[in-house]
Amino acid sequence: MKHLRQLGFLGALWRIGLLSAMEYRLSFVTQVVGMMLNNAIYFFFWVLFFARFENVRGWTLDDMMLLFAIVATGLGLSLILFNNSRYIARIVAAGDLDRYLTLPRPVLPHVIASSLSVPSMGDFTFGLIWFALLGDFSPGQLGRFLLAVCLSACIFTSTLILVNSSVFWLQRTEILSEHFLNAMITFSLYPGTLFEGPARLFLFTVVPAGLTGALPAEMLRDFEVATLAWLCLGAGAFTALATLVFHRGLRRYESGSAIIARI
Amino acid sequence: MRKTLTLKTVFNRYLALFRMPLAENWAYLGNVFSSLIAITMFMWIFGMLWRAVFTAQGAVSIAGLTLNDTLWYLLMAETVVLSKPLLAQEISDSIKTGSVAYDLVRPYSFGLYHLSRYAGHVVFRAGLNLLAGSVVVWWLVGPPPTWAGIAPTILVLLFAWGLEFCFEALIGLAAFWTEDISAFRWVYQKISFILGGLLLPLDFYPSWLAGLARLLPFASILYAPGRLFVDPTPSRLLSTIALQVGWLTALGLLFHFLSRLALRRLTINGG
Repeated sequence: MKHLRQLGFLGALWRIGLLSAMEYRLSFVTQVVGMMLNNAIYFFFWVLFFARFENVRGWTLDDMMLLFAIVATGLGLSLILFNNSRYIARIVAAGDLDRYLTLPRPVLPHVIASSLSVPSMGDFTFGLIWFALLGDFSPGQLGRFLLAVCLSACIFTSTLILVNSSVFWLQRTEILSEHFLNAMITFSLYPGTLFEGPARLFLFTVVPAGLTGALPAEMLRDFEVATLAWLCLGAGAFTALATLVFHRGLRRYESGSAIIARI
Repeated sequence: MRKTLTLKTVFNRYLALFRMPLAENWAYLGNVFSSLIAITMFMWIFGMLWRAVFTAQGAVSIAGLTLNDTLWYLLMAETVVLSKPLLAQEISDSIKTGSVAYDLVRPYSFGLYHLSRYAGHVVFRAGLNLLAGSVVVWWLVGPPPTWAGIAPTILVLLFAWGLEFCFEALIGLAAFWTEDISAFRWVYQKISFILGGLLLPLDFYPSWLAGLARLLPFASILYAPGRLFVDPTPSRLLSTIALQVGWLTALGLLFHFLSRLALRRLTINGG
């Protein structure tokens, strides 16, 4: 019952976020369409690349399409639902966390679901279109795609919470958090087979872009239960760690003396 | 009594504006150093990608470029992109918030005011980006193919940033007509990445597309400096500068015309 009520609260936050984003219709449409165009033009790089080189360590243009579909949909989903996960450092540094602490709702879900990224709707739609263009609509593949996207979104969100929570100990980490997100997106969009040895270890731990791009794509290219298990383990571990670190950090938070009630 | 401005006074005025971002960047060195992470990261990925490609092809050179040439070329192109400030966003924000009114009452030309500040940011950031990127590329593939390319590349880089300034300023001006310019920025950025050869040298493109792209201003910004750096022939230098000057004239005139038109539309409420 308690969980249902919290889900209802999140639903209300998302609804308000969507309505406020759609207030400026022209801006809303240009941002969504602009992001889709942006992604499509970026993908053209890989079209040119594979037109010249055919494959790179076993990856072809179709594999890159699948990778783009998963990363764009996963990242889009994460930032549509929990856009503030990437702004926690800024919110804490500005003392704006006070407004969430005054309300009788769980702090972390309330903070991260309180803003919605409009361009991410373009990412999300682009990802779905890219998956549709691959033309495999078998129930198994659709189910695996849905699972891969949810796990990718979960890892994007939890790692953003984790890195942003460092603000509780390091004071100013907005730029670190911004670079972390850029690194996650950049590394997610390259064939996983490019990275070996220490680089591969780095991409599954410190900047776990391997878990948001290459591994989910691997699961769809050639399904193995072990791959799914690794992904679930990664998503579970990062979610637990992010929740733990945020709440530990919250104990260190000192009010910015900016008590503002939001009605 | 009206004082006549000498050329030296005007120059000093803009020189002061040029120096301001140098001081700003110096004051927030932490920010600057953290942005070096980006160029280090990109060059590292490119190193792995292109090593895999050259190994798979079993070739020492592809379309006239070796692995060493390719990575030094990509470093120059990345430096152009990663060293520029977010000018379009800055202009757009000043229009949205109304602070453009303060910029306009100052005794500066609107265009030269932004150009001087833009140049200050670029000079500071480019120096550090080139330094950090060079360390990574040198470690990955060794020294540049030739040292003769340094001086002509610096000249061509200056024109490249001049062109980039024009595009950014034109996109910023769009805020006089639209609510949000983000979409224009993203689309311009990606078109220039593709047609400028940021991620893949134009030499690797199909010949019809490479021929067309070389004539466009995006190649004058991203492709030309890197290509000249690895192959600094006098004919390449001359043709590059001729094309850059041509585009700079066209885009500069367009900016001049549109900024006058845009400023005429400006309505400032309150004080």
